Amino acid sequence: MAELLRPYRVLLGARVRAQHSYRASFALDLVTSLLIGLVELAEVWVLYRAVDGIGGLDLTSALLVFGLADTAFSIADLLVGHVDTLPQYLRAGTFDVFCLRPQPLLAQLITSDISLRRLSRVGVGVTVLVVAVLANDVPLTPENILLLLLSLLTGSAICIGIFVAAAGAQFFLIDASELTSSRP
Amino acid sequence: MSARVWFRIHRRLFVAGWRRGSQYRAAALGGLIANATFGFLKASVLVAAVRAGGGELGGYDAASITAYTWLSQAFLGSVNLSGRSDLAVRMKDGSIAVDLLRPVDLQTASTAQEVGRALFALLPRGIPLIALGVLVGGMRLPIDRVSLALGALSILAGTTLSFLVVYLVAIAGFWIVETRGLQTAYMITAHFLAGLFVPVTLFPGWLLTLAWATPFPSMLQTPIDVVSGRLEGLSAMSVVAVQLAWIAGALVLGQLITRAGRRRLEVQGG
Repeated sequence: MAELLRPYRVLLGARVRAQHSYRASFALDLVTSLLIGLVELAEVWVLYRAVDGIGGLDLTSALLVFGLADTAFSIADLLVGHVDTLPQYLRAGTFDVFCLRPQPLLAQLITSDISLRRLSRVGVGVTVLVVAVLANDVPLTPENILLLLLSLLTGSAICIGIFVAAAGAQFFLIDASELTSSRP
Repeated sequence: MSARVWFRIHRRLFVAGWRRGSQYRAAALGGLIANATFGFLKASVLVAAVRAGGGELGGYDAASITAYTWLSQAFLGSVNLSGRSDLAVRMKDGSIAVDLLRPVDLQTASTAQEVGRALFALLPRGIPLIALGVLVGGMRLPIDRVSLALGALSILAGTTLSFLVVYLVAIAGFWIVETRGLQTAYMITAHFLAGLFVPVTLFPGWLLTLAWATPFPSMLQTPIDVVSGRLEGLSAMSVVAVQLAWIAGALVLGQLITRAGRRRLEVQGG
């Protein structure tokens, strides 16, 4: 098993080192990713300034939902978000290179990059989650802690599944790749 | 170059951009489906917020927030809030050297093409989304001649302004070559301050002042307000005048920076 995974480990290690080597660019990427997280939070806050509660949730309870959803999504984005570059590989013909290598396509695509710059956005999600758990006086019983961790795990898994499914659809969409976009 | 020749050249570039936009049918359909999906999401959240506010939210009722939602989605295909442009790519790969050899102004020529391509998106993306808002959301729009004309002018001005500011982002490449970071910064700021997710008018006072000190609300919020009839008569005319003032400012700034940048240009590669 360890022998089987070794190429991926080496590849990912190289990606991580590559991202660190352009320090200024990496720092800027971290900052923009942080800003994306903060602006999303600001949008929730702007809406809640105008009203006390939406659908039975006040700001503190909405923050708990935000924290869970944002952390799960950004973890998925960090791990597999780059699979949405597939249409570019397809159009440029560089996808053929992946087909020549003796490794599964999806595993190659996922390990083709790791978006460490999105760590700062995960940071925003986790911070909001921690603040929200404290602000909502969630009793920290073993059951609740387990539920929180399980929500993050399954939430990320669901987002990863959707990312991969959307990338798979790109084989048929190509030009219409925006159809599966996660931007408005 | 006489004004007539200038106009003819730029009209042709505009038409060429329009035609180019008309070629990407699958892309337009993909964009339409993405915009419509987010339209439903935004509409449900914002209408729920209006209901929670007792039928009123910062001057919006259910009908006007619905109009805001669907118009913002409809104009999104045309107004450039992403910060990306062909010029930024040409700046990086060195083709900019060819562009600068052409006997037309870099700023106005590239903007005319981009605006032509962007406005075409109103046909496959804008109109279906407005129709969806009318049919599903029960949106109503004023259809008297003055409002329509002012609305059309406001859409044109908002789109043009967005591309003029994106041009400024692209030509920063004269100095820093790779402008991807700036493009992302533009995208984040523009999405928020142009009023894409939440109307700018819902911002708290200080943030509202900050937003209106930038050109971003003039790109999206103003066309929405004018077309939806939320602003009428003199107040509509004054926000359109603000749009035109920003366009003039961006034009002048772009000219000055281009002039300074031409002397700095170092083409990468060979």
